[in-house]
Amino acid sequence: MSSLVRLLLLSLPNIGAYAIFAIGIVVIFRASKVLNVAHGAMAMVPAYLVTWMNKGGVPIAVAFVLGVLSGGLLGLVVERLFVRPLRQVSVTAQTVGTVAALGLMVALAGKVWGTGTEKAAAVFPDHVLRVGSSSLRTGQLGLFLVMLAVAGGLTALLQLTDIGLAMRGAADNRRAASLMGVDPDVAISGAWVLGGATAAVAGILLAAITNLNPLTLSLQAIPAFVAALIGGLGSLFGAVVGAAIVGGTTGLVPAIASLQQVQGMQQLLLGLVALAVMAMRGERYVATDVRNGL
Amino acid sequence: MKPGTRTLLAGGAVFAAMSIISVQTPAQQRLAAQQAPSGPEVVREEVVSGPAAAGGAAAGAGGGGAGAAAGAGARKAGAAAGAAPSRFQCAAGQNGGATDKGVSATKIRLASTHVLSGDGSSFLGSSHVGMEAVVSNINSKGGICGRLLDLTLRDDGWQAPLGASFIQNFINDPTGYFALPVVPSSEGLTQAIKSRYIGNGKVPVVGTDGMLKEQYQDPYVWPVATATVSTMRIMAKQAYDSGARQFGIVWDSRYKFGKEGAKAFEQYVKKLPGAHLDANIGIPPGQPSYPDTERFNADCGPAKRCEFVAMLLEPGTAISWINSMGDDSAGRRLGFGSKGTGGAQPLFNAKFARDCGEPCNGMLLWTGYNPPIGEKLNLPGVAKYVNDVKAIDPGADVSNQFLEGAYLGMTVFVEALKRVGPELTRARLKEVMDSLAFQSDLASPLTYGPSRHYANLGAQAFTVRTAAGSFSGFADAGTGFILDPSPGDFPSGG
Amino acid sequence: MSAAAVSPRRTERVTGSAASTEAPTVRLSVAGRRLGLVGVLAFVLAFPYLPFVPFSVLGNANVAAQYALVSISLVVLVGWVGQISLGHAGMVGVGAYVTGMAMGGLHVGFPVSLLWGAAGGMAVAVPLGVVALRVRGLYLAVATLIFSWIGQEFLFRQEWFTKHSSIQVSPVGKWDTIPYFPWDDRKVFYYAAWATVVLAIYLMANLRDSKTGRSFFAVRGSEVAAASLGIDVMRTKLAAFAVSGLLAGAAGSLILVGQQTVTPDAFTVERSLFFLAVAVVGGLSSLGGSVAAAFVFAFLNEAFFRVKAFEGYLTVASAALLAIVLLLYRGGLAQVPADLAPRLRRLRVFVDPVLAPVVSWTNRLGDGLARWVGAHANRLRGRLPSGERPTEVVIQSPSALLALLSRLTGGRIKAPRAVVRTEAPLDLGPPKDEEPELASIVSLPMNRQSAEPGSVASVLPFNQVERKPVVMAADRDERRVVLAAEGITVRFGGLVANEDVSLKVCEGEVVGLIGPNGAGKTTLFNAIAGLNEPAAGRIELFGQDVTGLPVHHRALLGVGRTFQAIQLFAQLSVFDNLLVATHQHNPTGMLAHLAVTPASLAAEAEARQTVQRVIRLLDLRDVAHRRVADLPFGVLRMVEVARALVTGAKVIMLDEPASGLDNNETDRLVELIRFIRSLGVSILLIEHDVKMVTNVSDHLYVLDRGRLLAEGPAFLVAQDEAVVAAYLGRAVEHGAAAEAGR
Repeated sequence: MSSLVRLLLLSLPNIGAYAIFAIGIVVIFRASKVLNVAHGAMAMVPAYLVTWMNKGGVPIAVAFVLGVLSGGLLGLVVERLFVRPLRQVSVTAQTVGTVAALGLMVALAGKVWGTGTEKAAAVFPDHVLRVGSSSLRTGQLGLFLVMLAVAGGLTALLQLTDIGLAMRGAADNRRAASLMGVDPDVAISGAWVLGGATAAVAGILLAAITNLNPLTLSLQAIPAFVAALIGGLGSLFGAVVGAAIVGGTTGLVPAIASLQQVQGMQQLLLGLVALAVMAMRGERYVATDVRNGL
Repeated sequence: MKPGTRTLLAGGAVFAAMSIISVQTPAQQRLAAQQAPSGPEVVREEVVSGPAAAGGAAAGAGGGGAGAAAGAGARKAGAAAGAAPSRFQCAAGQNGGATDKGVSATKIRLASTHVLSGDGSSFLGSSHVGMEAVVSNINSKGGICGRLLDLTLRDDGWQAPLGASFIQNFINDPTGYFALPVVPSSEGLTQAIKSRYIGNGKVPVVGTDGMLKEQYQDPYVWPVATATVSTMRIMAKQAYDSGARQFGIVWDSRYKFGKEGAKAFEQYVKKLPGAHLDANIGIPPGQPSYPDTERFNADCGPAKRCEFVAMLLEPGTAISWINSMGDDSAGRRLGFGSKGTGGAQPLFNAKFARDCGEPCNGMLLWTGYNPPIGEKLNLPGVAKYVNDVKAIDPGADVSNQFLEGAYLGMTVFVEALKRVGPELTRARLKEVMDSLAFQSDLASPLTYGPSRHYANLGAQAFTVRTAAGSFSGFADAGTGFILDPSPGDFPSGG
Repeated sequence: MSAAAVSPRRTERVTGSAASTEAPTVRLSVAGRRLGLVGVLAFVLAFPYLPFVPFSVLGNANVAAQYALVSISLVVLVGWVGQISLGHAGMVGVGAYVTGMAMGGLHVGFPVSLLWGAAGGMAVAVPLGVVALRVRGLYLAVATLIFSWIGQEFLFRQEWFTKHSSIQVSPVGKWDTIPYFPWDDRKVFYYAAWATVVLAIYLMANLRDSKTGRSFFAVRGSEVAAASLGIDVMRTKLAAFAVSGLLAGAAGSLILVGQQTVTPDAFTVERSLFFLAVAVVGGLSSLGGSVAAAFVFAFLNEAFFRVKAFEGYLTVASAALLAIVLLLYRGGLAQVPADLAPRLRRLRVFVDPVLAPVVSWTNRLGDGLARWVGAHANRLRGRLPSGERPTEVVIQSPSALLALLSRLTGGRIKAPRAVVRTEAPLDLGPPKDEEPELASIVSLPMNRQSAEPGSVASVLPFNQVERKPVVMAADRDERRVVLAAEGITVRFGGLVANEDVSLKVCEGEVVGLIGPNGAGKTTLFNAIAGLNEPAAGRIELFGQDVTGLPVHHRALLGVGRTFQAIQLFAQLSVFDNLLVATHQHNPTGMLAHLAVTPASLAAEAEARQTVQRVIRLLDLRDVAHRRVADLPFGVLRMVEVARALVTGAKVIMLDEPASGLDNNETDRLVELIRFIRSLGVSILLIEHDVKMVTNVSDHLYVLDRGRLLAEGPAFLVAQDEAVVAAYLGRAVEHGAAAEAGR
């Protein structure tokens, strides 16, 4: 088995985590046109909750479900508390609102659970899966498979049902959403709940194969922003492709000795790719309605 | 108290110290033999003022004449150190009052930054307990020469700019702080050193525990910790002595300890005849998985496993790294050395060992101190450390090496204050520190010199033991304190 | 009214203070206030040497200067241009490390190295801006976030870039340093840091009150509208990025010099978010608010140094502060004075008796001082322009420094100013505090004598070209064509929105473009304006092919437009909205605005005069100084048309101007269109309201399913049976139904 294939295999968990994050970011962005900077923090808090519950004797399966639900709830809370009140101001203000949410969640998690690095509850029983001379742990593979399931499920939900269509343009075209019989506010909240729940899934599974730390886990979403951007910020499929590019790059760069020596080479390459993608696309002008201008 | 009495007391203290040395481990004896000619004075930590010192003299008398010759030499040096004319006496009301900034007849004002919020608080958060334990111990005995220690601690969140500005504030405080002991918040201290706040302010910073090279090169900073570079060389030396020739290292490329330590390790291994560094991989911390393992395994993998692998990582990163490793055909985890694996002090904690489990069985974790583990707990100094700390905070994790380092740092500082005596000035503190040799159960003997602030050169290893696949405890690897084979060598770069 | 008080800005102040006549019993005289100002200035200057100022407070005053500079940099980019940045720490870091390189590698001394840092910040901000040109708001947020990430993970960890991260600051008499100033001393650094901040505020205030500043606000408000007024949106954004990067780099430079050492951890993504928090707490678009917020955050540091009980809550505090401001006090610190003023006024009843003696003594002292200073400063007067005629508009320099000097000397020293002749004294209408009824404020000049042909020329803006009512040739083919579209085809993916459409607008004509919903009217409109690129066809303006040209180029050729969904700049007043439209006639550039050159002042004065004229002409005086966001819809339609008029356009395109208007308002709109036509301006009009279009148009084009169905003189087309049967019939019914529903 070639080294390349093994490297890609090792990249699977990264791709899985970034893809779930990116999907959540895209779902939220599509519905409310807000860049959710707090996405990583919305993953971190449920991960801590699950570990805390599991330590308290709650079976991991139950804890996982409760954790995902708490993630959805967290998405709702962030939307209601930090995003919706700022809708009348501007999209920029809403994004700043998520910055405030990120800061508060990281700081409070640090106060409650400490800023140290903790071992998180394992979601999948730990086994080593041998693939040729390389191996993958069940948790790592699980993260990737769950990602596929999440991506498939959400695509089905959002592309094929009315709810998905309503969510899609709720912020852009409130009237269209209303015409479909869906309250646009409900649609937006729904997107945040979905985003929060997916973030929780990624956070819990990611923490299980790495560890828990308020800040580190919250900043894991940054590569996912890059992935979402490469994917165009608009489509779930694009987000998954973007995550594959990001995860693959992080995986392949270490294979090239000359690149491995330069610190931060992965980030440099990915950043440049993302900026280039951005420079090649995009509309020229933005129209702003006078009633909800900046 | 007349000068003659002082000399006599110092001599008694030397006797006490020598008597302990005579029952040390072989490694320590080697060390003592190495250091005796250069070390002007060796004192034992229990030496306090007046009455306690008398006890020390008695102990010295009981210890026999083992160090008579060394003692004579030491007495001479001790006389030199204590030779400054003293107009004052070491007692409350007669100590000369305000002899320097931050010193009054009843108080010595001290200040330090520490970490209660932010990233570093997980492992540095309890350091203040170690400092407070020493302070309360001294103050309950009436302080030093009638002066109580008044320690001001401030949380800087481990943010370098904020910590440095706090330190600058302390230095320029109008009422004044006499010195900055320990300063557990290493980020701020490092920046303050580089910004020359310490050097320009000429404020003694005693007993630091940050392990980074800046701390060992400033004339006003006296660390107690073994430098990361020293630990890495010691690790390599021990492995080489046990027969390893093919080396590998994986290090944290984000934090400075990683770069510094890896550089020292690389330079040292390259000097060893017949040894070669096959894998040398720097990795960023906090990744979900590490495809870099593939490259490591190409150099150090199943085909030709390295004989010794050094892990210079933080616990979280190390766990992710180990989890990303495959197993070899025999089912053993890759990424470990066939003849041994070493971890630096950041990995020396039970949580890491627990999280790692079976793969880490037999791994050697290195520390510059005597941790309260196994037989080391029987050492009186270590037992006293545990008791002192528990008295302040019963819940404190005494095996935290940063806590122990803070305790040791404060102890060294207090010792120096005692030796300066009633006429307490910063200049005299520097003079004393620059010629201090300090012996305790907590670490290998510390020997400072005017251009030699890397006093702690020893590190010892403990073995991770597992039972039924999970961590069962640390065992003394029996290396004793091995000394840095190339002391004072701080490679540039990194 | 003295000439100095005629400038609009000045007048605002006058009316503002007039509103508070009820309150105070005791007041500082002008001279007394000047004395107070001198006192504050003296305090600020003496601050480091005041015996009661603790060393730590001084240190945090210096930290505040660094925060303030970064925050101002964010205010320019985020607050004024609306380009969100989540990556400012990256620019600040580059500024710091480049300064280190200059000082450590090239041995440049401190004051000069500040320029290196600023240049470094600009050097990374501009490429980032180039990327940002291509994308919308949130893509930009991600781009800046990624930039900060690259800095944190890559750039600030490269040996070659960071090897001079520790520097020796004290210069020793080199050519480029001021010798023997120990810049690493907190006291000395205080002056260096705050002088930099004050200079930055001065320059940015100049910029804000100039054409450049207005183009910033316009881009923030609506990019399409800005472009339609001739503003080069790309260049404006790029300029904002350059200025912002410059300031951020300078801040980095200050951070390095102040600390002498920087670590990469000071320039992380989290730090970027922190900087944004400072700017947001300051109000995000206010320079003064930035300084206030910088002090608040620096004070947090002080509090954590002073109060042991706060230990462990360092990170929580700043996050909580941002959240509180964002959710409960959105205006930020910039809004505090406005909110506090009425309350303080109420308190005066209790405070005044106590303050009275103090105030009276200050007044006496101040008056005496003013007389003395005035007598001495008067000698300078000869050099400055003098003589005030009531028929002149005087624009005082917006420069705070010169204005201060002028006020301190009781006007004896004159700030540089520009004098522009006008025919009549200006009248700004009632003060904005007296709110008129808004329902029927827009009345049109046709009801008055001012519309007679003779006065039109003098009243029109930028009448470089002589304009009179055009005498149109009877035969349309003999008329001068001002706008022509030939064979326009526009496709969106597979959808054909316009196919082979041709139309033309001749000088002096009102041309109507009608058709049912989805006929492709707006698409065609946008193709002509430059917002869509047609797949085929050719567009000519005044005989020049403009097919590939960007929107603002077409605007510069003399095309103005309005939008179906109104695109006024919501945060600006009506006056400022119209002022933005003078953009293309103001020849001065950004550097002139920064330095407030006489040329830029003259251009500013002329622009303001033009706007004044249009405001009087269209009788918008009552609303001139009200924020657009607070005005009713009918007024906004008129204001948008007025804005197009101010550009001096020779063709104005109106996109469904009557939609959303009631019958009364529609009638006024028709009058306005006729009036504009009477000024010699051609009009292309898209309209749903068929009755109105046929009423006002000379010529009609009928569009259906992207193709031209009919064309001809309005009355003929309206009667064309095929058109009526096929389209107008339906449309008329539709229109009638809509009217009945009202």
